[in-house]
Amino acid sequence: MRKVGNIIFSIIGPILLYLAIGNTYRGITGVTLIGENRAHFLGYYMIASAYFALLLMVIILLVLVNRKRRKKNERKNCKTSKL
Amino acid sequence: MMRQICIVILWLGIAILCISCQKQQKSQFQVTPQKSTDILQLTLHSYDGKTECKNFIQAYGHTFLEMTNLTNQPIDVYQYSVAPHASVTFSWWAVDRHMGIWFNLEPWYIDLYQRYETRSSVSIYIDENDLMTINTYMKENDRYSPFDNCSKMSLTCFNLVAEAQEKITMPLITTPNYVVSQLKQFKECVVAKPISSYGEIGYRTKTGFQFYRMEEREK
Repeated sequence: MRKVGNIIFSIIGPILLYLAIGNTYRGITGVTLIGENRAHFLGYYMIASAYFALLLMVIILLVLVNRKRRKKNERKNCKTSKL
Repeated sequence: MMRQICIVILWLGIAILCISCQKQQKSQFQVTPQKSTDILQLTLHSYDGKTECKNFIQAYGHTFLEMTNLTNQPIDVYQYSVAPHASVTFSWWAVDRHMGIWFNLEPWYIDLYQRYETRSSVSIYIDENDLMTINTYMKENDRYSPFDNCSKMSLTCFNLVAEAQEKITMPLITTPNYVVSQLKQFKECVVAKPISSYGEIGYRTKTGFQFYRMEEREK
C-alpha cells in the first residue's frame, strides 16, 4: 500500500506542482489595468491556489497513510519480539 | 489490498466508458424574432479556452454578455449609459480592485491580445421590463466567487429574460465549456461574432464609475 501510495504521489505530485507554478506564472505575467491604481486579474492565482491546496491534501494524505502503516508495523514488531 | 484497488479502478473505468458512450440528447433551442416592443439586443458570448492552452497549462475560458441599444435614445444598463445603436459588454471578473461586474473589458482584450477567438454567441431581443429585471439582478449580484463565476452569473442573467425556448438549463457548476456546448445547439449560434463596443473599461461604485484602461504591450 505504501509503495502504491508513493508511486501515485510521484506521478500526481509533480503534475500538480507544474500546474500550480504554471498558473501562478500566467497570473504574474498577465495583463494589468491602469487607472488610479493598477488592477490585477486574480483568476489564474485562484486556480493556482486550488492546485496548491490539492497538492497539500495529497501530501497530508500520504503522510497520514505512511504514519499509520509505520505504527502498525511497530505494533507487529513489538508482538513478535515479545513472543 | 492491491486486488481491491484494481477492481475499483476497473469499475471506475467501465462507469466512465458507459457515461461517455451515452447518446447525448440534443435539445433544439430557438431564438424568438424581434418584437416591436424590444429595445435591446442581448448577446451571450462564451469561449471554452481550448485555443489558449499553452505548455499543458489549461485556459478555462470566459462567458460575457453584450447589450446593443436598438433605439434612438440612450439607455442605462446598471447606470452605464449606452448611446443609441451602440453596445456595451459586461461580465463578472475576479480583479483585485473590484470582484464583480466590469464593463467593456472583453472588446479590449480581443482587440489588443487576440483573446477569445473561437467564441460562440447567441443574440436575443429584450424589452424595457427585461432591462429592469437585468438591472435589478446586476445590482443584487455585483460580486464574484469561484462558484458565482462569469459563466454562472452571465447565464443566470440571460435566462432571466430569455423566452422558454431560449432558456439554457443550469448545471451545479457552470463553466464556459458547458455554455459553449449549449450555445452550439442554437440554430442562430455564431462563431467569432465581431464586437463593436470600445467604451471605457470600468466598474460601478457607490458614487459613480471607476474607469481604467488596459495595459498595452509590444507584440
